[in-house]
Amino acid sequence: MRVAVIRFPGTNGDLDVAHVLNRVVGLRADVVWHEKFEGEGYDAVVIPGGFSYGDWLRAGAIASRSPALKEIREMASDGKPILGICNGFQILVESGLLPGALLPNDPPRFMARWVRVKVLNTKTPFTAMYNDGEVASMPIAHGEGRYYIDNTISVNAVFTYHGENPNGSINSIAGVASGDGNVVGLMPHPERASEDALVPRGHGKGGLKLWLSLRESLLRGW
Amino acid sequence: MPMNGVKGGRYLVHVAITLKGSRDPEGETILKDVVTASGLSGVLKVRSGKYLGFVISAPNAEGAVKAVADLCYRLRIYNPTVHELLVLGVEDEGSGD
Repeated sequence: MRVAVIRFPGTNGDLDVAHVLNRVVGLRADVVWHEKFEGEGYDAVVIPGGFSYGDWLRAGAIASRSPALKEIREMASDGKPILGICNGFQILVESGLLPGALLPNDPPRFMARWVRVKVLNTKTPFTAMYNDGEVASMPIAHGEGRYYIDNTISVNAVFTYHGENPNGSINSIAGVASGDGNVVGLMPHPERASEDALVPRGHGKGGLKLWLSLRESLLRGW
Repeated sequence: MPMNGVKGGRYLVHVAITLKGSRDPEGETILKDVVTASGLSGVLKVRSGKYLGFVISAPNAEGAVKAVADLCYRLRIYNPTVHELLVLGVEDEGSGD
């Protein structure tokens, strides 16, 4: 089971994601430069966080036009698990693989803090091991995370902020999935919430089950 | 200036991308914390956005504006769900030789 972790110029969450996949949950993950990425040979893809192309035009807008996204689009249509975290979520939204838009935060500032999210949909390869309605702690760190969609009825919300809504997202949406559920994006960072050493008092390692879900889903054949 | 009607000229098209239908917290903050806070009254709203200028060869100014508006839509330079494209103006930049 091989997972590709895609690196664009400005990506900064790649090594953290690869560390958790390789060392914490025991999957095999490769960090792959976007120009070298070929979907063949990979069972899943993670687009990590960061500031790809310096957030030019809009966060994720430039990376979403790269050839790597063509490969990812094919993998997505084959039903393979695709995850976008933070800037990766922005890239998936900009590419049209996930619906809606991510706008500058309201209130208008960069937010870096731990939050709680509620898991609304456990029928995705990234949430299968959570309980329905489970509340999990993860940190956020973003300036453009205000999720917006004009039709909130059709959206497949997977995570919502529990308690405070830190960025003004519509319906407090923190993460969504494609209709089939194999493509998931979220603003919080599960890779920074998967080991005890990184978790502040009062929170738990709420991201760990996301990676365990991916492992189980791949082993069982998602 | 265009040398002839076939080749056309070179135009600078100014556009801005602004939010529509959702709150504009940057504009609201500029209004509240800069304009109103300075004691100025009479400013009712501030809209924030992103400016882009395209230098393009086209048969005429109208054609240049239309080509830029089309490419901005087609290439998703703005997201029509959440943004509005404002054409701010067009300047004739000569033949572009």
